[in-house]
Amino acid sequence: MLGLYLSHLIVIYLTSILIQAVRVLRGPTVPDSVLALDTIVFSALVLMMIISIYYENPYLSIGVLPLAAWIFLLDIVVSRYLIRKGGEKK
Amino acid sequence: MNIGLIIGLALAYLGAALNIIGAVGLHRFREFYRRLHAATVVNIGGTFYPLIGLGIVAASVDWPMTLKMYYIGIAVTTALFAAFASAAGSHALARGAYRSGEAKPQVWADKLEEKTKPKG
Repeated sequence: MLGLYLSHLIVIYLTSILIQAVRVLRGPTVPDSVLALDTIVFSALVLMMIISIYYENPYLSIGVLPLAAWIFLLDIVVSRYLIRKGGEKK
Repeated sequence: MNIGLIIGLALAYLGAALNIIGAVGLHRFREFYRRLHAATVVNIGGTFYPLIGLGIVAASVDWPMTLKMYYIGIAVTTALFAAFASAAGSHALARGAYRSGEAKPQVWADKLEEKTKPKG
């Protein structure tokens, strides 16, 4: 019974990730794309956790916390890059 | 179904609905600074609540105790870290976008620009 509910959640999250992926490709500026990538990775965290519980296999959920740390690092690095680029322009 | 499973799945479904709403909001809003609102709906509503809910789900099914504790630990730790990282990350991104002039805010009056502009 739990598997049925979890499979609904997997479908909803995959649809949501597809909608957000369109914004990554279409985003007019760099911050738009990075913001949409941020939301995709945070959705993928939940998706990995759901799939891991669905198959009762804990190995897939090992990568969840490093992925969250990685996307935080990406935000900081892109922000520093943008500020440096803006300083060179002036 | 026991009560923990119902509460956990309700939180997970609430998070899935908020995730879809935020994903649509990323397309409906026109500029970067308004999309930050939609991104926060995805990051907090669509990640923090479902992870807590999945932790409750894992606690209330009859699995071995070590497996349960593994899932609860990962779910709660990641939920707390995501709540911190999404707020700090989007703040840093907005600062970078504003300071570099990459995304111009569409506003009537920009008081921050007057304050940060060098005098003279």
